[in-house]
Amino acid sequence: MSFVSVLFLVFFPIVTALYFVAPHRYRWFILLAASVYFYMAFVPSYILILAGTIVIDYFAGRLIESAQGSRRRLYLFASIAANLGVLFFFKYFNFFAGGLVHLNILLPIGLSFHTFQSLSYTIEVYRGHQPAERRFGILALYVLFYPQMVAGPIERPQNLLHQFYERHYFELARVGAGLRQMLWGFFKKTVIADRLAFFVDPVFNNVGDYSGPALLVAVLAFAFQIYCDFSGYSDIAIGAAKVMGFDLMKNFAAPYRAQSIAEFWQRWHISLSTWFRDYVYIPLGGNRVARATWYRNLLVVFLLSGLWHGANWTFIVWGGLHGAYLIFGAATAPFRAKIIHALTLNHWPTLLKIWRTAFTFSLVTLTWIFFRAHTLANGLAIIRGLFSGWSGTWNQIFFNGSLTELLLAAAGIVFLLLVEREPTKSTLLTRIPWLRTASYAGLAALIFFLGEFTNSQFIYFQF
Amino acid sequence: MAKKIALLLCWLAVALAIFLLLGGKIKSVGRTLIPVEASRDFSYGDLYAMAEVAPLKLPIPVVRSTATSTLDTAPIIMLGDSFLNSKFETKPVPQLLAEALQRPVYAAPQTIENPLAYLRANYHNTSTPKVIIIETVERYAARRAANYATPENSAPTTLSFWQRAPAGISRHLFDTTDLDYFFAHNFLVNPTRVFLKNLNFTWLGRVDRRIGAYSLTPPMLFYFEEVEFDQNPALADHTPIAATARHIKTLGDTLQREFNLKMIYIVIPNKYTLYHDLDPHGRYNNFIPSLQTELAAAGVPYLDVHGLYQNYRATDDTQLLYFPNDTHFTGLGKTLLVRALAAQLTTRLIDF
Repeated sequence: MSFVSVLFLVFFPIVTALYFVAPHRYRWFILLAASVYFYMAFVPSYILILAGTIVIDYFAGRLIESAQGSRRRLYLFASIAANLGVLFFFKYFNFFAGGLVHLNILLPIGLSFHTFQSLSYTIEVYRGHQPAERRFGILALYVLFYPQMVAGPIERPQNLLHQFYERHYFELARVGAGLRQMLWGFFKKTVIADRLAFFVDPVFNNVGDYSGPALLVAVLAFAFQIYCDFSGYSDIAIGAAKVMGFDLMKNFAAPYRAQSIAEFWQRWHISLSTWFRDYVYIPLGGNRVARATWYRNLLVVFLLSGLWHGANWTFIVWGGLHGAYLIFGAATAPFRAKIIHALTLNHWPTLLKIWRTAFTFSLVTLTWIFFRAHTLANGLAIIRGLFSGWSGTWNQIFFNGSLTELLLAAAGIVFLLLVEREPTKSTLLTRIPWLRTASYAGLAALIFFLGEFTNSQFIYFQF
Repeated sequence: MAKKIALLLCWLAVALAIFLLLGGKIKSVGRTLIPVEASRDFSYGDLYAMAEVAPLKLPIPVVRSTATSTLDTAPIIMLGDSFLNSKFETKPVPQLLAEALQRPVYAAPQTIENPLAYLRANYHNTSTPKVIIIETVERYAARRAANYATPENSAPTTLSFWQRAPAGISRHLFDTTDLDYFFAHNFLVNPTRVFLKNLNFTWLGRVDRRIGAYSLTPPMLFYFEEVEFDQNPALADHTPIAATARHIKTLGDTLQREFNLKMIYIVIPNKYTLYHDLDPHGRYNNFIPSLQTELAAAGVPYLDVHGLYQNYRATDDTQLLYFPNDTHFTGLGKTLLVRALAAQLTTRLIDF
């Protein structure tokens, strides 16, 4: 079930009402049943795949906890192999088979997300940070919890499991905060992301038909489309969970305000970047190793991150570029500091900040080209095309979307950047409650007035 | 006080959800909660149903009529899409043609994708030479022609209870078609939704995404599939057009050989093909003229409706050939088609 659907408009209030009306001891079951229905609304039969991995992880967790010595590791490897095996089969088999064999299978929606969430459970049990879950239904709920099961945030057992045992009361302030976050997510998805899609999809689907101006608009539009689409999903997920009393981890923190690629990854898809940090990067040695090993670690993590997104060279290049940026950034940090000092740019902190932010955004946007392109050749054609046809082809921009739509999308982006400022800053909205309520009512009106409801899918559903 | 209002809003949201669930899942309940605006005697058109903007809310009279001829006895068989079945302003084309020729004309059901499969299952009178008129709207011409060449679907297999039951349960639980429709059209949501659509149209010139282009002078809506089809340069290439003509030629030869049926092929132009000059960004990839050139080269008999309509517009553009708020042709469009078709049938093809 998509968040942007009539079915969710029916599902969410009814499930939330049932959740609060039901006695505490039955609430987990209501949530589990609702989550199963939520997932089955996509493709019913795929629930069996999830059920299989949940059963394996349940017993793996119990066995890891009760076993000693090498047996613990054996059970952990069995769990990892089972989870990654399912992921490999559905997502990567055809890619690694290289055309020799082709299985006609569809990728279960959100498989990469719940595989990683399941893995974090058995790994944390193995590490002794989390006791094995005794109740099968609660572990199933941990994997299937509907707000975040399809596209994250990828939760950790320490943060989420205990919350299913806690008694949540209907608190208006909390419900209001959750609904406001959901509303903001809906705004980002329907008003900005899906409007930007008019300028992105036709261009990336027919690269050869477009030249410089249209390609540039499409590339910039995709940078904001993917942010608004994915962070919009996260906002709705976190908000929906908050309404019911659950705290999910933050997934985005104004990533396009980052002043370096390293900072970008502290702000973008935080639940995935910290997953890779905790379960891949640090076990490889992190940065407390020789410089060459450190660089290798960075590259490995980002190549894996690219592969996590999809079985396509475009994603691997996307991840590889981010890894290369970080390595280059780390290698040249002292040199760049000297240049800034020599040019006395450190006396102009605002200018320096603007330059760093713009440069980081440009680097990230360059990688998005490969992320969105269908093939590597397509991505390279876009980069080449960006430098061509800058005279007389401006009308291509409006081929699939009018000037009105472009202006509305641009206004939406400006509004987004103004609203998503550094969270510590106090604004009129945070000081005057009625103004805040009025502004959210206005936001709801904008969604109904300007929202695009023709595309209910989110970009990250494919992962 | 503020808390009470907030709590009330929460309960209203739950009540609305239950209202939608009941109306969307129980048809007898849903029907009573949807305001009925249309009548059996007129329609507002399929494009208005998408756009729902006031300037295009123009009633189209619907003519009630029933055909009586049968497939095996009628000397002329017509097989096509909704254009053949359109009852707007006049009787459908097959009945108009029957009146013009004073001969029975059989209109096959409009859902048939592969004429050969349909005839093999239903047509038995192969000893008498007859005429079959195959019609398609332009935007589906290439796809339908490809269908003619694909192997026929095997007879539907009978599913066991254990195969039917899960599919039925799944459809009942997860299919949201009725729910989506009820949400958009129930008496609570519909007025606000239509008001917002009109506000968007008036203030920003925005219409429903399914409308690919529109004009206000004269008022005219265009379906997005037509606009995309007509502006797609790939469809102007020789290769797909030649393949389409080849499939149509094969179909005609097979109809003659297997059923003793002489085929006349008709491509009804997209409304956008004929009126794209009303769109400032309008352009046409010349699909029909290119296809007809290929058909002529292959010796396939066809009726040039595109040329017919263009000539009409060139000499007298005072009356519309297509409805402003519907994808289909007007009574005038039908009449011109029927006259030309009757002339072609009587003078060139069959001896009645």
